[in-house]
Amino acid sequence: MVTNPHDRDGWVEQLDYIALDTRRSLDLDDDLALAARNDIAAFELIYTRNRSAVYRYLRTRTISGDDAADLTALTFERAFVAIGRYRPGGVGVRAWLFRIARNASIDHGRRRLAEPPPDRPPESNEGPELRIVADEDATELRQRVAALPPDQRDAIVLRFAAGLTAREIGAVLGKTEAASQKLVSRGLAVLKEAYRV
Amino acid sequence: MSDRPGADAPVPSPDSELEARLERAFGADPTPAQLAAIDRRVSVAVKEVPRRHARWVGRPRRRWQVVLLAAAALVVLVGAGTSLLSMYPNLGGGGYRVAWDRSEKLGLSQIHDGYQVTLEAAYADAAQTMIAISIQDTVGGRSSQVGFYGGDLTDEAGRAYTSLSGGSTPADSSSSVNTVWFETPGDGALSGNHHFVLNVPDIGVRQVNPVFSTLPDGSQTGNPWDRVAGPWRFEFDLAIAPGTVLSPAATATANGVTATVESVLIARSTIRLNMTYAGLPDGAESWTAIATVLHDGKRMAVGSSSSRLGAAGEELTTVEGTDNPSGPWVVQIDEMVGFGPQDQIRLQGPWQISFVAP
Repeated sequence: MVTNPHDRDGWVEQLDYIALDTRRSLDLDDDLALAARNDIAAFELIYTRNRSAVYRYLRTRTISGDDAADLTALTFERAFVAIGRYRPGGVGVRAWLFRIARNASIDHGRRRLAEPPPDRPPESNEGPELRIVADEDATELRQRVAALPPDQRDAIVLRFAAGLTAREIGAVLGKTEAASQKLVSRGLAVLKEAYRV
Repeated sequence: MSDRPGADAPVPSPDSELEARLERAFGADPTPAQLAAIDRRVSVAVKEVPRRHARWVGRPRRRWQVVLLAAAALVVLVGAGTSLLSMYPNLGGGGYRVAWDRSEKLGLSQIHDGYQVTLEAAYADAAQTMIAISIQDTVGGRSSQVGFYGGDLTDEAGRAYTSLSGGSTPADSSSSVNTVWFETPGDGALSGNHHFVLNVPDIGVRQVNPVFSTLPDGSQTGNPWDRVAGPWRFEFDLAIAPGTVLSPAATATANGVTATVESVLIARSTIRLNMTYAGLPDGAESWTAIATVLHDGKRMAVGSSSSRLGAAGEELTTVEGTDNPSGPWVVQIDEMVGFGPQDQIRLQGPWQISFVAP
């Protein structure tokens, strides 16, 4: 079982292990990625630091929390397979991870399209985490974001669900940093106009 | 987590209030069951790929602590509530609905520290086993949500049932309904009546006011879920519905790639296909098929795939199964998707693989 980062014992154990075995700074993603090639504990740290953000991003692109959890696991499975070919010096591990997550969700969407139509209307099982934030404002806001043009929607979600920077968003979407900044700005402007704030 | 301080220009902030609302609107946390399922899969994945000097650092399961807590805990048997029970039929369709409708309704409850855990029902076929667990805080006011982290399921022969996935739906801030799927051991051969033990070592309780912490790089993170130790332990009898196992070795070739259905397990709640692929181009480290399964006038979607890392094959699982395995079957792959370190490789089909079950 992967260690919970908030399990005090587990957290200390991870930090000690990384510090002793890699002799690298914990603050640098690239160092962690390099260490993760031969050190599962380093990959675990990448996992625990990014797991929630990846889930939140994928939750915006899936119908249910279970689907988002499935794709989150798939993202890290694929990341672990590919970590040996990660190239340091780019935008960083986070953008790399979210690109894998985005591709996984695209494939998931294609699978959904291949499914037969349901016999009855979708169930109201939105999942508990959604209900926590399911006040009217949040629901309306998510609907308005969903109605944005695809690139703007992606940029907004990567910014506010996943917490990525403009540079990282650009790397995920295959755009320049400036272009991704514009996408976020335009998306916010549309939302702002809709709320007249 | 900024890896190069100063390198990233900040995103413009025309409306910080709007941004805060966006962060709240998209601030969904995975439930304990989902978190446990993610952890489990990633943990298994990293163990499948041998690494030089690799070591998986995980919290050891402190069974001795569990035993001590068990000795100290007050275990009370109570009757199962009915309000939570009524939520289960609407939690899903397909294979889940088959499992729920045909499940054994058990209604076994225990209370530890005011948290009542009820084993509402259980279902098993040759492919998978499902349990339905309700959690209720009989004290109340101590959480914003309660959830299930999973449990250890074994049978009379000591066989361990590996958990596959789980879902949790809150009824309110102090109660929830939960379902967990396990893989039935025996590669499809197990059936008949069996005696089971389900041990629930702990449950998840979401803090009323979660506190988030700061990582070494200054970024904020947090897990608002605390574990409440049990254990809650249940014993019950359950019949495993038989399945059909075939080894058709049926193939189809398209785009220079040959796809083979090596074996298939047909059960009431799901179909599990063991696939291999030959002739795939270089450049991808794992492959998956966008596929559906056709049988008896039904088109069954593939709900998940499990790649065998480093190998040209995978296990495909459908979202529903069948009571009637006999007759012709078609596995239709519309597209093969390969995953490289940065990009995907896509091969168009279709591959139509046919075989007949007796």
